Amino acid sequence: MSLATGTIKYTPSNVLRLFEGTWLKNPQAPEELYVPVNKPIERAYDAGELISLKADIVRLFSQARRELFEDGMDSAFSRGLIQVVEEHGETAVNQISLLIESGSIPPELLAECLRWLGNMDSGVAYERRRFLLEKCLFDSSTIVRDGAILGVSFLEDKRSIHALDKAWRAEIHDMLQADITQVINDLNSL
Amino acid sequence: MCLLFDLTLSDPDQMPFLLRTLRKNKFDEEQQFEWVPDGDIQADALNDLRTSGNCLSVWLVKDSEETLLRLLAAIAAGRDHLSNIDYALIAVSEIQKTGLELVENDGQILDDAMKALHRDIVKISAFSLGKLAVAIQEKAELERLSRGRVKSIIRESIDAGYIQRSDIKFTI
Repeated sequence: MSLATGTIKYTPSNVLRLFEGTWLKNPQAPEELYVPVNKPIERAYDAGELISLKADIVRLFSQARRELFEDGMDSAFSRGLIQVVEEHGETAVNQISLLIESGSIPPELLAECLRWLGNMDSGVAYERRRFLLEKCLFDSSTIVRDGAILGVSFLEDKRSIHALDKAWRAEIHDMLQADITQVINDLNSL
Repeated sequence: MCLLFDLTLSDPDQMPFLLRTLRKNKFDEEQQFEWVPDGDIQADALNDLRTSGNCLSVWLVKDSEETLLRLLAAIAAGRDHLSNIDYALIAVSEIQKTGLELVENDGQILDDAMKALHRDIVKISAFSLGKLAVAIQEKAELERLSRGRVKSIIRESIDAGYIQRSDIKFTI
């Protein structure tokens, strides 16, 4: 707490967390003492809830294996993916990451997942999504790398330029290199 | 602005192209699986050439890059979400070499002036569809407009009055 500046920052513990915000001492606007951070409540999951969430995510991916996807078009998979991430935040993204690491997601479906993780309108689990997308820029599959390039492009976040630059240097395919260049140029023009 | 596809290099009177939106990575020869034989293409590529009534929807492009961008803006604006747009541009002559026919047929698109550019490739068999996919892989220019670029061309079309903002499902 800083008495000199008149601000108080209160961060409750994870277990008792109800909200996270910054208190402003502002005599001109006493009704705006509390400015909530626009962030979902991240709660602790017990083992049973995690198992259930993992099963839901596995089922979502399993049902999507035969689905056909098109750029810019909704699908049952995209709606389900966005819903589970908006509802369960970073925990959902972590479960998706574990599923990816298990190698059980087909490349085309994973690429589609990455596109939508980047194209979500919501800010839920943003940093976790961005981390996952940037990591997948270096996947062994060209299809996955393509999905990651698009997912990163959809974030429109200049902080990804460094990762994109590294990905460009590591990329062996001319077409993907050109795609990365286009994304970097777009970000630099923001 | 990068030149998407240099239509000026070709004879504008003789070189119309057909545009088909698809996911270009499936048609990029460099990215084909190693088990795909030469002169062939992965089957998943055909998912992007889905026919209806044995016809495939394409768009004729012959005038200029401005028309191409206006067409792409209209196509992208008709989707559920703002996204990149991948497409293939292939010379009409290459389609004719496969023995396929083109028919004029107004398309459904948000920019009314672009409707007349729609064509159907008709009387497509399973075999000719495969030939078409290979022709796209071997002869087409595969391009991508990033989401940022798509956003800007849609805004240009809205500002020019070609597309109504109220017709677009997503925020631009």
